[in-house]
Amino acid sequence: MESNNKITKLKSRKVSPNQKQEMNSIVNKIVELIREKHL
Amino acid sequence: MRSVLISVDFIYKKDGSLHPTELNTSTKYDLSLGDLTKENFVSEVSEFFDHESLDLFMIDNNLSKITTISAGGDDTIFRVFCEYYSYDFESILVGFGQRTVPYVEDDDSTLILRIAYDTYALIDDLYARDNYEFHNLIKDESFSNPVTFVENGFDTIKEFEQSQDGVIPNYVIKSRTPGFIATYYPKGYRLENVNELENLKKSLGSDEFITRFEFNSSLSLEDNRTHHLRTMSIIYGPSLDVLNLIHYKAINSVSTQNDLLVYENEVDSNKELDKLFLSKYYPTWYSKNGLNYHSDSSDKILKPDGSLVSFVDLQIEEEIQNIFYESPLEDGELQDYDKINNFILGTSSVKSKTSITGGIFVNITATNEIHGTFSWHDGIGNTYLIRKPNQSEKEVSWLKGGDIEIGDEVLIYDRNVNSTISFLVKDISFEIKEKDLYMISISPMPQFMVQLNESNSNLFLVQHNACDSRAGRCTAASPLSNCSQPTCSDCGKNSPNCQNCGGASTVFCNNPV
Repeated sequence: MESNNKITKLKSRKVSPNQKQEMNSIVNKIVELIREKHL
Repeated sequence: MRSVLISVDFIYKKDGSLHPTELNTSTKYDLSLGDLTKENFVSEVSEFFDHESLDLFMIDNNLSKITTISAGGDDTIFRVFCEYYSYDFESILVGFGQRTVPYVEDDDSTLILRIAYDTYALIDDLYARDNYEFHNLIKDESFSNPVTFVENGFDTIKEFEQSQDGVIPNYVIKSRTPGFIATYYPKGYRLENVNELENLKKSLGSDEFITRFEFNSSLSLEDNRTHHLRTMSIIYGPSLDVLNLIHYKAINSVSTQNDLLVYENEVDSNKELDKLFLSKYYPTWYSKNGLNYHSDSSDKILKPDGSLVSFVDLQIEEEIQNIFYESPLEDGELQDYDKINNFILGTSSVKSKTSITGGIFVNITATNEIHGTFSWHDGIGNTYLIRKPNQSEKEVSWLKGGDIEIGDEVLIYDRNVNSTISFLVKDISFEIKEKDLYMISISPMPQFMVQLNESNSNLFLVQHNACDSRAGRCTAASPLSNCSQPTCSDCGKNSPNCQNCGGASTVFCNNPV
């Protein structure tokens, strides 16, 4: 664990399969809304 | 086949569900891909990049080439993907801030991937550029959050909500569109009642909006740091089909438990939170950019003839003293201390000098038995030669100012004995200072010396170029003259020089080594 009192460069971490699925589902919905509005 | 790469950022709401905060084109990843090669591709990217899905997509659609159109060559991951899977690759660069892209002829065997802003594209001009359009688009979805815009009286903040624990923000003002003064937004607030919220709404400008600060006490923190999740997807074809490819979590640079932050008032009379305090909960310009290496305009740098020149007076091509270690250090890498005093002094010249104003500084107080105690401040991204208490006396490493802790030893060059000596760090704090700052790049050797304090003419902090980009795979271990054909898009950072290097790389786009 990084020390609380360090100010470090922004770090990237892996996401869980559930997080991935939830993100994908929202992105797909956003694009669906764009499609509904413009296509 | 034409396509565009979009990114969507997410944060957790109080109920534990995800909220998409914005949609972007011309997107960048916060991933360090500077050393990505065909050989290490799978091991380096598999955690966040579904490269097998992209390969399958290429096969299914009979595509044999990817052509990227990107601002500054932020296409490393796709270039190396093509090398790994043996697809053809072409990179078309557009300038930073360019609002249109060049026409590229479409063909059935090429995936044309735009990673650059195009004002004529609907997704870019409406939903990426204008947060009003984005939030209006999603307003009826469960994943939306309450917002207030002046435009058309669009206001979904129907009830006032207190700070969840009395400390964290409860509302944030963000810019509606890009182009604002970088340090101005976001503005965080800890409002105490509905009247304060109504007053904030009344004061709102047309190019900004209020959003509820979203936070879930168990999901929003990792190692006591807030984070956002980011996904990147390719939108392709006339039906705007979606291929979700990249997913990762970006951890905030400032911990919510950091107790070394110095500011005048946590919250002002308008209930606006101090920017450094806000950085604990919401990434600000300071916490995102304060890690750039920089020096005060009044700091003095050592010249080959032993004289000093301040950063404000330093000229392009001016000669300065460099120090080149025979066993060079990489950031964070442990090295044999004995080799630190194995160095060659030489002459470099200044290749670039970039000015910025303001940043997060580390205030350091350190002491040495012979020389006494000194206090100074420096950028949290400035690199120091450090020995940690848990390291052996024989080990040192380059560490960022933001990584220094009480009990560390800072190694300082003593001109009198032509050697580095140790100062024990007794006190540390962090503070935003609105100072005129400079980032420089020197060549051919990147390390230089900055006077520690005017009261002692022999003590110097050993520092180096802002960007350790290793553009073109160059490291100090392989002196620059031996670099093989560096390309400017290799370094993976932000730079006006090496396109992506924060303004101070050792390698220049118009003059690669």
